Order: sequence, then structure tokens, then C-alpha cells
Amino acid sequence: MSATEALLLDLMGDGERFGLELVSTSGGRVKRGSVYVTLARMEAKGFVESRQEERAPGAIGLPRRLYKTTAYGATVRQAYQSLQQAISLRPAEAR
Amino acid sequence: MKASADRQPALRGRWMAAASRLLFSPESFALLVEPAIADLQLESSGRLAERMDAYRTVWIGMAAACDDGVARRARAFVREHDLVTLTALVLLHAAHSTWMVVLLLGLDGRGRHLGKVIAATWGGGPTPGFLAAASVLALYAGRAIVTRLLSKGVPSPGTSIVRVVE
Repeated sequence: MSATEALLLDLMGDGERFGLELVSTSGGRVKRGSVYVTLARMEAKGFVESRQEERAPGAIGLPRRLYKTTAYGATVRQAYQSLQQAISLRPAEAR
Repeated sequence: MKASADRQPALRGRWMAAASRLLFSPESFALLVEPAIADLQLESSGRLAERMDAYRTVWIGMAAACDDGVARRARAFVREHDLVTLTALVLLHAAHSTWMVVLLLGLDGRGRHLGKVIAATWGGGPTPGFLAAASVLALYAGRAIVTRLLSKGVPSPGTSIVRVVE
């Protein structure tokens, strides 16, 4: 899991989010140009799932996509966090 | 980066969506291109920079979808075809191309053309043009034979031109 993927999972939390929403809440840490490529990769890995937004009757244009963390994604995120914490400890603290 | 729920009357990115639908797999289109175009269509800030950024996202999505498609096709191709057969066919074509270059440009840079050598050896023999045409025919005949042998389901799925020749 890359740092951007971990950040996106953090930003998503438990709810469903649009790609642009994630970009705007990341404070510039997630770039607009790469968000969908990263989300597609995460979906391929099984970290997130997505669906098309429900459209109002008569709406024109393409539907947006809503992303949500999967149970597997949440587990991997938790494991990644624990690993990061363990790595950041000094040898004396780790004992 | 302002997105509004009101759609613009003239939808941007329609031609990109139509082209992407034709070019990419439904999965790549849905995950990489469609959401980026949807954002582009929702972009209501009049700023050129924001709009350019939205277009850039679409182009990046299209490039990623293209890459995804090429990688998928390459994997499928390798899965369905024997690499030894492919290598043999590539070598066959390379040998044929070399032969054509020698035939047309000469054996060296001093004007020793194969046509003259052939004419000197067998006076009134075949012309380079005839040889070139014959070699093309031979190449296609060879390919047809290999294809026919392979399509008859010769032994295993791992059948190769080398094994067929053996």
C-alpha cells in the first residue's frame, strides 16, 4: 500500500466519497490528475469499491462515481498503520 | 475546484467520452475516464486554469486506460499464443526483411548488386524483381502452412513452429 492509497482510505473513512471530494479534503496532498488512476488501482486491489451516483430523472451528462472502503481495505489500512508505528519506534522503545 | 450540481447546457467532453467508449474496455472507461469527464462537465468555475486542470485529468485517465488496455491485450496474447511460435515467426520475418534489403540495395556499398551477381552466375536467370516476388510468396505460403498445422490442433496447446519443424 502506497502512502497516497493510505491517505485516500483515511479520507474516505466509513462513508462514500466522490473523487473530487477526496482531492479537496486532502489539502493538496492528493492531486486531481492522479486521483482516479489511484482509485482504480485500489479497486483492483480490493481496497475500495465504487458505484455510479444515482441520477435525477432528466439529468444530462455522465454520472460521477462514489467510492467506499471495503472491509479488506480497512483491515489492510489498520495493519499498515500498525506497521508504520512499529517502524517509527526506536529499538529501545520497541522492546 | 468548484463543482456544481447544475450541469452546463453545452456538455464538455462529449467527443472524448464517445471516443473513449469505442477505444477502451468498459471497465477502464468506467473507472478511469468516465468520472474525470463527469467532473469536467460539473466544473462550473469560469476559470481557465480549473478547466484546463479538469481536461488534464481526463487526458491522464485516457492515457492510463490506454496503458491498461495494451497491458491486458499483451497478457491475453501471451496467454493464448506460444512464445516460441511468435519468436520463430519474428525471426522468419527478420530473415525475409534482410533478404529483401540485400536483394534491393546490393551486397555491399560498391555496387555489387545481387541481380548482377545472379546474372553473371546464371546468365538469363531470374531477375531481382522476380526473386523478391517469389520470396514474398514463399513467406506467405510458409505462414499459411504453419497456421494450418497449428489450427489442426497438433498435439498440445504448447505447439510451436520449432516443434512442428522437428
